[in-house]
Amino acid sequence: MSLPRSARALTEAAATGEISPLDIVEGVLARIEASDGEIGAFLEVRAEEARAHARRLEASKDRGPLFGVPFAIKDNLQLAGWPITCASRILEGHRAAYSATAVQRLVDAGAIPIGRCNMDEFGFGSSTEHSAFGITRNPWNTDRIPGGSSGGSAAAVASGMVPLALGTDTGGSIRQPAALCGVTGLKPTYGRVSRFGLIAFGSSLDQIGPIARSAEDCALALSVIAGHDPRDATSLPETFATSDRDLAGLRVGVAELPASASPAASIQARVAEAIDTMSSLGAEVRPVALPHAEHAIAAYYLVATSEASSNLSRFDGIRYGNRVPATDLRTHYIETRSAGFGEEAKRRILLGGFALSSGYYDAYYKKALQVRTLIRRDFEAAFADVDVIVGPTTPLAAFTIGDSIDDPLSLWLCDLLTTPANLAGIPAVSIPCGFDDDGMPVGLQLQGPALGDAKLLAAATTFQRATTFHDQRPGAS
Amino acid sequence: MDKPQPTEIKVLAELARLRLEDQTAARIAGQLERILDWFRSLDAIDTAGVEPSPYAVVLRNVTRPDEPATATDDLPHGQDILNCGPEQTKDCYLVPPVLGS
Repeated sequence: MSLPRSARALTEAAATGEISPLDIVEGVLARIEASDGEIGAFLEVRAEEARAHARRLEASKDRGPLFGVPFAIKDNLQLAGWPITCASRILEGHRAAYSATAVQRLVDAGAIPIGRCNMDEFGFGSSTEHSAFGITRNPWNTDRIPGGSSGGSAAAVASGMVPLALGTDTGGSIRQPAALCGVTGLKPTYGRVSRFGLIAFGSSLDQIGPIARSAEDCALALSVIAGHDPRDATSLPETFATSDRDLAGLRVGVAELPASASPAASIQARVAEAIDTMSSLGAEVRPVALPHAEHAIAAYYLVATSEASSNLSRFDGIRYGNRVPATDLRTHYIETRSAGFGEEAKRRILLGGFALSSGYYDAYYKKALQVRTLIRRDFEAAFADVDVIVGPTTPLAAFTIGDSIDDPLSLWLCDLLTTPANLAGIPAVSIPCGFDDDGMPVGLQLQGPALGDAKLLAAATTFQRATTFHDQRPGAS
Repeated sequence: MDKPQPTEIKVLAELARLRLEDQTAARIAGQLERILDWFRSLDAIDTAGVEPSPYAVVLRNVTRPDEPATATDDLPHGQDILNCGPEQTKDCYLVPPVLGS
């Protein structure tokens, strides 16, 4: 049976009884069976539970806004009773004792959890090559990376295995894989979505968001997961309502890119064409200045590693996860953590520990927080003149698997254009805008002011109604 | 002066309870040196008098009326949480001897 590809079409078909949730689940499981051996998007598919969930939904009278929509979960978001690893050996064997609010809200809205998606260990990476449990391949070319760290989530949507996945974005981990896999990914405003039940990487930067085939589906998912949660004191009280404002008269800012970003020529060309399209749809395109943007990446890596080194101290082999037997507690800590964490995690723990250590704190960590203030002010000034800022999501399209794993710094530079939004806490979405000379997807990033998520998604939706990039699918599906 | 030496990396690793072989420590020290060089590009920015932003959003103190209520019971308690650990005994986590074997 041929299933509708979008979450909205699926839930409409399910709600009218045209197709049953069980048929949807069977269709999705068949696609996963056909594609995931090659792609490796999932760490685990929980087929029997998904079938049981679908049968329960069929029996219930509730028709939530995501009734019958199957979704995949990045493996750093908890669902009670499910294993969760963050793609790290240190959590192997751990089962979640409670559910993340974002996951629970999707379930409460009638969505069906299908399985757990691969990622870079704890979110530390931009290629999903830093998973302890194997790589994920890009559905457009299986020799290429899918991006990361939510690479499994993006590849699962791009290959048509699921219409919706949850990812998390600390420095671009939703938008960058969405761009590289040719799908739509939203990092909401910091605080829009409760982080309760998310295993933390950088607590002041992390945000949960949807990856889907269209901005319209992202808006549908965000309308379910957004909103205050008494269990996350940083979740915002403001409610989210979708907008249908089109591009007419929308002030679209284009910032000069940092010299160090220098996107590939074909990426620059696709982005320029997308901006022309927005202009033809009525947008008023004008230049904006983000003078400190080029420093975002250094400030980000200082803040992110500092927070990560602190957050990862909780993995002690006592309260959850794996333990290496030892005769005394000190040896137990050292053996458990040394065996459990991969090299990128160790590198970030050490770097963060260094930046926070006495004597270096002012020069590194505090300096980064001051630069963060300047970046935030740049955006505030820019958004006084424009409604959204557009540009490429990444300087490069998906590279070949194995190409940069030995050079951490070059891999970190992939995050150059996505980290400013995390530092400033503003929403940003990546949408497909064409292909590079090798046929790999190119992502267009739209950034908006804090709480401007709805306007951002409306602008992206207007673009997608006038274009077909988001409807194109890799041959693999 | 502010470049991490391999010995300093070993100290940091010890504090983070990570074991690094000498070769790994030397390699990571080399990588961190490159990364820190790059971080020092921030020195060129004048941040005199700029407030640091530990959070992007302005944090507000969140209060609610102090009213009696029942605890939500959909969260795990006691034994459920203990069971997440690799080893427990009764209502405690079991750990190796703290003061040596």
